[in-house]
Amino acid sequence: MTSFAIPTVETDRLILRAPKLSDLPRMEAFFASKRSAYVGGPRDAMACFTSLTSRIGHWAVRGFGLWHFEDKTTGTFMGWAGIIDAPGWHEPELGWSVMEDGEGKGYASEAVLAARDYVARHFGLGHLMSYIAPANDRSITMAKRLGAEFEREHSLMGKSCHIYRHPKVETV
Amino acid sequence: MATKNIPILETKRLVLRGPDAEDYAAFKATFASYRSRFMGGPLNPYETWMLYAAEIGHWTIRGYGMWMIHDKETDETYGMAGGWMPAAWPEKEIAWIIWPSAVGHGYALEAAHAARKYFYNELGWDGAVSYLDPKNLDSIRLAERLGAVKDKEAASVDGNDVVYRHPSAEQLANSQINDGIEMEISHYADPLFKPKGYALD
Repeated sequence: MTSFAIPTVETDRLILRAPKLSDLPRMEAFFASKRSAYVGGPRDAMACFTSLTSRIGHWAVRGFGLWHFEDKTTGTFMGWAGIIDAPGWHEPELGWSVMEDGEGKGYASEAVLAARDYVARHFGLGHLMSYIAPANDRSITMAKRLGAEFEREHSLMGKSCHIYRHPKVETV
Repeated sequence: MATKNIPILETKRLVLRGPDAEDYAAFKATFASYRSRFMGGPLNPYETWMLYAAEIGHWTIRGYGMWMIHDKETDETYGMAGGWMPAAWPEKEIAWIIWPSAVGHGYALEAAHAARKYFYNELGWDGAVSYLDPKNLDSIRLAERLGAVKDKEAASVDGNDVVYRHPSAEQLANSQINDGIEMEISHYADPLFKPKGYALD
């Protein structure tokens, strides 16, 4: 029997939960916009569907993956945060994106902190890094605010990127 | 908490289970090869891995998906078959892919027949289609052996594929088509009657 579970994590304002079909229209809007330029976009509807379903399968194959997070009060899907570990990745990555209407509210930070803490405690991933495109100023600012520090230059799928190392999370 | 349990189907020679992490190697080899040219391949390692993960997530999102085809005796994998409906698909599809090393034994026929039966009898599907590359003669032949007929009126995925419409649940129940398929499968199971002379999946 193929079975796996994607845990739900609650923060002050957000719920981190499994990706679901109703997230697809907002994923498509995100991946059609310039916001997706630093995270593998643009992607068409077909590629967005593959992303959505593969994020779920990532949990099944690796035991961890990306959460989609929603605003607790409105239920609106606002972005994603969690772990990506696919061929081409030299180690599991802490990644995230936030929708345009969720920016500037600290949602991404809140989700990433919750994810970083959860994966350290439950999956033993206590000292993660993030790949960030050198020109992605907002993500770099956020990573630094979360305590991450520039480690070195790297390249991911043929594009140059910077590795930011997050602080070690105590797991006991 | 989202949990997905994928049903297990058994046929004469095969057992169909949800795709697991340990079944990935043959899928990867197939999608790196020319064999995958009618399924959007060949793909690079990242794309192949993401497609495999998507095969699993499809079950969660749609409630149906592609099974991994195993030999009932040895547990060896032969390919995948089941239901498929990504974003751009006009209708629910019955799809299959057989590893290059496992062609010619009627495994796709046996697995697709079992999958279709499950969708019709357990999930209540009225019908289904298969979207095929017009150059993919092996799969067109298989669609025909499953009783599917080319539907020139139906919308295709992107205009580069042909639509084969499967017999409806009603048409298939207690039909000659059904008996014929089961007879062909039984002939594969008994090598004495193994069909010869044309390309087979």
